[in-house]
Amino acid sequence: MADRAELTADASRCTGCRLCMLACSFANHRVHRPGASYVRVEVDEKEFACRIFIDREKCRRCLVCVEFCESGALQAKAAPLAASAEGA
Amino acid sequence: MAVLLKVDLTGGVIEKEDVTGWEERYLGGVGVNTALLSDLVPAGADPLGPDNVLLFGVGPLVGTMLPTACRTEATAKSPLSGRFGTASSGGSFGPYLRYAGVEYLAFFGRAPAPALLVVEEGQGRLLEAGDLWGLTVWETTDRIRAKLGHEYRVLAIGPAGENLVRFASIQNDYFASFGRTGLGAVMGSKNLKAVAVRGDGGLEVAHRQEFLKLRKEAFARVKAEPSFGFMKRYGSMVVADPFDATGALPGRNFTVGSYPDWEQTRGRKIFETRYKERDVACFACPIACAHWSRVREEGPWLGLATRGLEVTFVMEFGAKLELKSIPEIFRCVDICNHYGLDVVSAAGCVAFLTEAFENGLITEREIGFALAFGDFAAISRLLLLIANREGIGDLLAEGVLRASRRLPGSERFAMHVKGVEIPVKDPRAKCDTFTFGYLTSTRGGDSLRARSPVEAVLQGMVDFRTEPLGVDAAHIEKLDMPVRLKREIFGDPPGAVDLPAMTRYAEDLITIINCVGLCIRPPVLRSLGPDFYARVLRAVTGRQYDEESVLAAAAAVWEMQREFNRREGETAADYRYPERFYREGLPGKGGSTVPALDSGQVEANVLAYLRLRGRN
Repeated sequence: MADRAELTADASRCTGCRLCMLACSFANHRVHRPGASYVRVEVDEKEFACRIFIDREKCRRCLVCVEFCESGALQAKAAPLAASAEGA
Repeated sequence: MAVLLKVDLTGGVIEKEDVTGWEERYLGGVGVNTALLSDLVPAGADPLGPDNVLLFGVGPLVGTMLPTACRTEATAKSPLSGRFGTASSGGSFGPYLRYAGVEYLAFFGRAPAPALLVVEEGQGRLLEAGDLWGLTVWETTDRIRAKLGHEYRVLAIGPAGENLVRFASIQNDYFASFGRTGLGAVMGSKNLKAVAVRGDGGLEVAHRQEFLKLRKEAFARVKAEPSFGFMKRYGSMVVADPFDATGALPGRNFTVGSYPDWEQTRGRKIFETRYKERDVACFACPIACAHWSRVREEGPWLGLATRGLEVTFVMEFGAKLELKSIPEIFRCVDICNHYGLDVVSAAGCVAFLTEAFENGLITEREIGFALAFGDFAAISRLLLLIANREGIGDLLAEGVLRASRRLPGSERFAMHVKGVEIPVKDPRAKCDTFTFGYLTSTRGGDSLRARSPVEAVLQGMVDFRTEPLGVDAAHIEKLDMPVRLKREIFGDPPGAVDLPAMTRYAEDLITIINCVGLCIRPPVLRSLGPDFYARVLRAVTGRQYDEESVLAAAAAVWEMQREFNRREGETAADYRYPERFYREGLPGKGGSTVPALDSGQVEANVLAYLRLRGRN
């Protein structure tokens, strides 16, 4: 895992589509289930604001979420391992 | 399994039913809703009485990670037209309803007191909602989420729905509207204020490997579609300037087709540079055609933040009602969203009354104030009066057809088809699939159920029955459409577009999309067709379809809608534009005037269309 790219999040770019959550849950649990995703996007539709949480303990850094992030809010960075439990 | 929750509001009883068979036959979403409505609502039922049934349907692709697979369809007998009523909404309600283990909701009867339905873990429960009655959509949604939790998705009506405004909307995620045909009034008539859903279940697919291939294909096709970038950048505002350039605006209640200052005051560029702040997506949508916008200029609207601008907003308030200020347009749309009004019909009603006032058919004294196109104070005041059914608003809340019957001489200003106010674009400038569809739509005067996947927005008609081909032969070759239909619609070799045949196909294609639960935005509409939907339905549901069988199912759904309308008294004579379009020319770009429509030509197209559809 140490040689894998790190997942970074910039919530200010997020459009709130939540495709990352669907991609993650489908890749890791074979179901479309946002609640099972290791990336969690909370969207405040009223004031439009997004918050992104990454469960770095469970995330396998498969980066399928990045593949489906059209906005660039989630990106893969070749960074050294940083073990924060939640980010962004 | 496709689960229907049958909610008897009168008795407070909720039953679960398996409707998988209906879904297999009619694809899902609007298809299942149509079959249920035809089956459950007796002929002649009062749309605002307990015999009407309000349905919500979420198709079998919704909640999966196919691009834009988030749509929910609401259906009932329309209190505006007295005929088939239906509306589609984005947002996140539909996916989470499926994650909660439910695909369809049917509301029967009338609750003895205001009610809220909560759906979670495959079950529904009714809660008393007297404390929510009278609140706006915003207040209602906030209060429900504060009480139940922020993980609940809420759809709700505002005061307009409660007051039985015949074009009241239902809103979800605050901004996403089930706008057309007055379904918010049906909800209000049932004393149902809101539905809240919490879903944490998972959706599997029948054939995983095949689904993964199709997912890749779908994203590739949608993103490669030339409209993808424009749609992302401008949203639906992409056509705001072309409509002006082609003299097709619905200006001043369909009397002005173009404005010299359009692009400078409310065109797409000024929207993008001055107000647009960031892109906003519905659930599962890579396009993100909505935009979060903010007013930064000094004045009464400094700081106003909202979701917009949609082209419908600028056409309805910027053209039909001549507001030149985008912040004022934002504010009018906000009123509609908060109070639960359909933007198109609301603007149509205000435009109708303004023209009647200008022509001396109603006085300042009767209204309580003077009206003028472009007068924000009067327009916004009328919107609030309509939502609350106060004063003159009580008349306008009936829609333009009924209101015009009570104002002798005003019928010529009532711009509707089959009782439903017509939207955004003038057919005199171009009577193409978009505007011809106003006549043929089973939900009355509307533009969202017939849209050509090869539309050439800036080119004029070849002749009254023929649209130009906006793409080359190679594009047609690759187009996802049965070969027999390509020959029928485009000719062989492809040269142009037969309007009646394209209208029928476009309606069937959009029916498929509204059945499965994707969005009709151009990147999807133009890139995915019956063959793709058949393959992906097979992969997701395990049911057997091919391109001809999904098209046949869509045609059957459309025919059920027509049969519903025939049952309620519709005849071929109802396929007619307002008389203005046949009698008056339309002032367009640079002092030019587009002639009135030739009634005989339009009727010939209608007859050709009806022949393709079968009997009427």
